[in-house]
This record gives sequence, C-alpha cells and structure tokens, in this order.
Amino acid sequence: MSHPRHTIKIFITLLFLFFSEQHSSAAKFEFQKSIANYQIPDVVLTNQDGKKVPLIPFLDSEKPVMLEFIFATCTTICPVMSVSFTNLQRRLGKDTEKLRLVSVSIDPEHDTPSIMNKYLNRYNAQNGWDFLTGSKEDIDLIMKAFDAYVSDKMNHQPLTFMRSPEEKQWVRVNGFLSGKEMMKEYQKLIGQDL
Amino acid sequence: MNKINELLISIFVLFLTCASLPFPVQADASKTIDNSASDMIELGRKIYQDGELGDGSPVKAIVLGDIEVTGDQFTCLNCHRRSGLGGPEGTKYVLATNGGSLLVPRVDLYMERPAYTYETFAEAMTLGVNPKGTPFDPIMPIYDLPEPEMRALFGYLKTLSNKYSPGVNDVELHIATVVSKDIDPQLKNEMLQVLNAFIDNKNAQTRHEKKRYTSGPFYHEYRNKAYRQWVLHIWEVSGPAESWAGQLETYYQQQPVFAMISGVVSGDWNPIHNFSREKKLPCLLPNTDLPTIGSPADFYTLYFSKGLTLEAQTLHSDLAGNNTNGDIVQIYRQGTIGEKGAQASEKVARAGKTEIINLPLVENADWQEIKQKTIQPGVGAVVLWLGADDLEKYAEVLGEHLSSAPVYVSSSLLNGEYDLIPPPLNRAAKIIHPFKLKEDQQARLRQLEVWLKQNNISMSNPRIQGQTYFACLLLNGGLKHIKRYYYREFFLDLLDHGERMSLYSINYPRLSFGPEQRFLAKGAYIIDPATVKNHWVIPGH
Repeated sequence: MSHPRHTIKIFITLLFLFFSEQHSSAAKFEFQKSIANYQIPDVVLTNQDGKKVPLIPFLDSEKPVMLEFIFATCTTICPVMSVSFTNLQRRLGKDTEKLRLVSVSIDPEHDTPSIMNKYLNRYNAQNGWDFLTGSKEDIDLIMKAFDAYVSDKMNHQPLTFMRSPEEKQWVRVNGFLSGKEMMKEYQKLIGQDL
Repeated sequence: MNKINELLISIFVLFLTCASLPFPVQADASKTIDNSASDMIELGRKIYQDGELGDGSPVKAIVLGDIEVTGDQFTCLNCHRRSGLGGPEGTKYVLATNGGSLLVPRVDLYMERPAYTYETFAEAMTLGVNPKGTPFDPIMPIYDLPEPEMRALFGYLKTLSNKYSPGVNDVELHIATVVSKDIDPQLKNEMLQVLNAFIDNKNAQTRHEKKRYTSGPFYHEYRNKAYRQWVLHIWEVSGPAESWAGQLETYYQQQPVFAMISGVVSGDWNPIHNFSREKKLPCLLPNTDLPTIGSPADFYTLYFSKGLTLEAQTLHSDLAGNNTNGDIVQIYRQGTIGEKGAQASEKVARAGKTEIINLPLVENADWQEIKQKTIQPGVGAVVLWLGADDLEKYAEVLGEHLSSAPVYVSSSLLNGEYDLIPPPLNRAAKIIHPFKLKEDQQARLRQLEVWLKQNNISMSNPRIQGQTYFACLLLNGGLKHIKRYYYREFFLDLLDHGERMSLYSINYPRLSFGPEQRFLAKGAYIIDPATVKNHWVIPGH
C-alpha cells in the first residue's frame, strides 16, 4: 500500500520523463540563414496566366518578397516548400497581397503556364503568389544570380530568398522552416519583429 | 488512499493517451470499407498513390511540425515513389517504405532500428518516430489516419515491391524489342544491329561478374549480386494492329521480360503502349512518330517526344505567335504517316478555332490543281506533311511561284534530314524540326560513328541508330543504379532522375526527365531559311 505523497512523486517523475522524452524525440529543424546581395538579371519571364513579367521591377517591389526555385513534378523538396507558402498565405488571411510570393521554375521545358496554373491551384494559392517560367537560358541566369544553380534539377536545394521593400540585401534560408518560423521571418520583413 | 492512487494513475494514463494523439479523434468515416484483403490493399494503394481515404476525402497530415497538408497536395507516392524504395533528391534522402524494407530490422552504418510491426508503424505515422524512437526528418508528415485506413496502408506497403518483377532470375535479365513484320527490312536491321552489339558488349564486359557473383568479397555483395546477363528477345508482330495484343501476350507467356526497349512498327505505337500499361511492363524509347498521348497515369512507356503531335503543336504555336490570318492548307499523302500529322494538326487547330483545308494526295494527283489551291488569296499558311518524293513533285510544279503565305515542312517526315528539301522550298519554307540542329549534333554523331565502326556497323540511319543507342544507354544507366532491386517501378523511378543522361542525347535537344514526364523532349525548332534564323518553341509557353 503506497502513500499518496509517494504516488505524487512517481507521477511528477513520470511527467518529467514524458516531457524529456518528448523533447529528445522532437524532429530537428536544420537550416542556415545568411545575408547576401544578388544582381538580378534583366530578363522577362512568363507567369501562370501566360503574362510577361519583367523580373527586375517585379522583385523590386513595394511589398516584401519571398522567392523559391521549384518545379512542378518535383518529388520531395518542392511540395513541402509549396505547402509552406500555402500555410503562410493562410496565416496572412485577407492580407495575402501584402506579400509577394514568387516560385521560379527550374524545369522550364516542362513547366508551361497551364501546368503552373494547375500547380498553384493544387496548393490553393491566393492572389500574391506567382509561378514564373522562361527560357532555359534565362532561368539558368537567375539561378546563377541567386547562387542557386544546379545543372541537374534533382540536385536542387530547399532555398528561400526573402527581402523587405527597404532593403537591397536578401535573406537566404537554406533548409525548411516551420509555419511559425516562416511567419516570424515575414514579420521581420515588415518590421514587426517582436 | 487507494482511491487517490487510482485516481492519479488514471489521470496520468488519460494524459498520456491524449498527449500521444496529435489530432482530435475523428468520426470513423470508413465504416463502409469492405474488409476483404484485396479491397484493403486497394484502399492502401489509394491512400499511398492518390492521397484518398476510404470515403474519398483527402488524407490529412502535418508537415514541418505545424503545417497542414492534404492528400490532394501531395501523397506518399511523391517522396517514396511508385516502387516505395524512395531515393535521393537534393539534400534529402527518402527512406524505403516497401514491405521488404519495413518488415526487416535495419542495422547498418546509417541506421539501426527493429523491424516494423503494425503497432510501431501506426506510431511512426502518427508520432513521427521509428521503432527505435528516433524522430524522422520534419519533412516526413505525421498522419491523421483512422484505424482501418492505417491497417490498409500497412497491408499495401507489405505487398509493395516485395518480390522481383517478372523477366529476371538469378542469372538473366530478359528484354524485348517489338518490330512489325511489314517494316522496311533495312530499318529493322539498323535498329537490331545496334541493340545486339550493345548487349553483346555489355555481357562481354561484365563476364567476370558471373564469377564474382559466387565468390566475390562480401563487402561487394550488393554490387556482385546485381549482375545479370542480358537476353534480348525480338517480338515480331504481323497482321492487323488489333491482333498485336494477343501476339505480344503469347510471346510474354513464353518468356516474360523485365522491360521492352526501342522497337519499330508501322503505324501507331498504341497497341504496344496499351500492352505495356496492362502488363505494368516498362517500354523504353520506341522509334515512333506516333506515340500514345495518354494520361499521366500511363507510367510505363517513356517516349522521346510526342512525335507528330509535337510538330503540330509547334506549328500552331508559331502561327499564333505570328498572328497568322486565313485558312491553313495542309497537303499529305493519304494512308501515310503524313496523314497522321495532318490529323494531329487539325485537332490542335480545332481547339484554337482555326480553319483547316485538307488536300489529301491520291494516286495520279493533279499537282497543278494543288498548286493553285496553295497560292490563291485567303491562304494563311501551307503545311506540307510530305516525304522527300512528294516534296520534289510539289517543288517542280511550283517553279518560282511560291505562295505568299508561309510554308511549313515537317522534318520528321524527312527523318530529320531537312537537306532533302528541294529548291525553291529550301529557300523559303519553315522547317518544324524536333531534333537537334545539324551543327549541334556533330560531336555526338561522331561518337556514335566511332562506336558503330568498332562494332562493324556502318552509319546508315543516324536517327534510328542514334535513338536506339541512346535507349540502350538509358537502359544501362537505370540497371546500373537498380543494384539488386529488380522491380520495374523502381527502374522507372530511377529513370525519372535521369536528367544527367540528357548530355548523351544524340538526336534530341534538351531532354527533361521527371516523374509524370513521359515525353522527354518538350519542344521543336522552327528553322527559317529566309531569315537564316531558328528558334526553339515549346508549345503552351
């Protein structure tokens, strides 16, 4: 017959062990963040509606910008990066157009406006999120400008580039951010870092 | 006292139970699921491939710790692939989820974990940890699956890539090529010479592997045990195309093969395409201008391009880009492949509401009348779906009276040899050319020529010989990376990551590989001799 105080001790110990275990078994987020200057090439791309988009003015926006390199038939990295954009737009609610989300195709031979449109629908993209494609030569130039070039698209990295309207410099994130962390980065871009 | 103890323990147990559930318990939506084994496996397949629960609603999950994702955005198939064997992409390596991997313990340099049971599998799916308690990478979602669906998924994974595909045994790997009896014997020979020489070379160069298979060192076992002697079967079909499926079935029953490669038949590739889909049999790069433009679910046949459909789409993209007005006049010889080109073009034109006037050539065609119809006012463009002989006749009757409207010539009907276009067409007609430009092809052609010479084969048909040789390179590349996992779906999953092979392409520029991409070349050149310019057109861009 054990004393309740003894049982309480066991209870607290078990709780402690439970939380320790939870902590130690939590999945690890690994990403690197750096600041860089990039010279955007003067190219004209095409968006999901078939409209021509000159890249320099498009990125030199009054809104904060987040840019990723993806392709529509990617197996692992791009779907997760895209739901990350979906989630960010969901969190922004009515304010989706206050942030410019840009996905640039690294498989321009395959990713036509119609394919990109379907892709954005699949990820429930709202206004403010554009998917851009272009000639292979122009896409290579952009990837090189962002120090993201790979000759084989399957070797691409999970890169997100972020810039606030007042800044010339880009924040380069290599890795995946949770929804909460992504939102934090957005708040930093708009100067609401708490 | 006891009551207080019991109460505290109950609270703790309740707390643990609730805390272990990442999602609120949902209503059982799968009450109507038939529990028969085959239905459960089919349900598991639907969850894995289509991201759908038993009631048709999308699977729900959480990725990156706090982001909701649904089965209509991405599914298990995306990352773990159709074979379930996963693989690398960029900085990530996706682990295998097929039965053969999950149900055995893993002890190696990279990981140590016990075999999965249903209970540890369900825990992995809902908590994101393996049976040893090691957390998964946060890009692996945690799932909200009701129990019947969880069991169905586990049941399906147990069946996934759990035994070798047909056509392979411990020592041999069987492959087939399909030819139709009515094909030009020279063409057939040009293709078969390349296939036979490549396979003979491959088998000769790896002859020591046979010895190593039984007596090689254990640390090379994964490599040595992968060795198989390739055996080529020629499946010759004859008679009406509707009877080909039965003939292929007979060949397959006699000796199943692991894959089909190359091949050449008269007419559409459709009967072989359907056979490939039904047998779940990879079919690699057939020599055809008439592929089946199926759905993305047509996973098993990989083509160089959409052939004449690609040419038709390129033609209409160029016409639209130049704001061409007026009727499009098409000339083709009835009953030939040119008629198929004209039909493909008509289909594209109909979608764009462009008017098409077809001028089919029959025996003793009145070329003067045809000429008049192509140079009269109101003609927006003339498209010549003609071979070299008919182009000569048309050029002869034209003299110097060229149409004021743009004239287009199909390069596929000339086997890519646009030098065959006679004057005055060669100075004015735009060429729809889905192949490499001559000047860009020279280096690869020289390499092919050297290889052919080494094998006592003369280069008589660079297109067929180059395409067949590239198909062999791709087969070799896929099988090199397959190690000992001879599953057809894994082989095709590997080829989807074959972007680097594009470098070795002899005939086609800019091959692009990827899941759901079944036509490697996506565009074609429009060569314009009048402006001495050519530009690359990707239809739909």
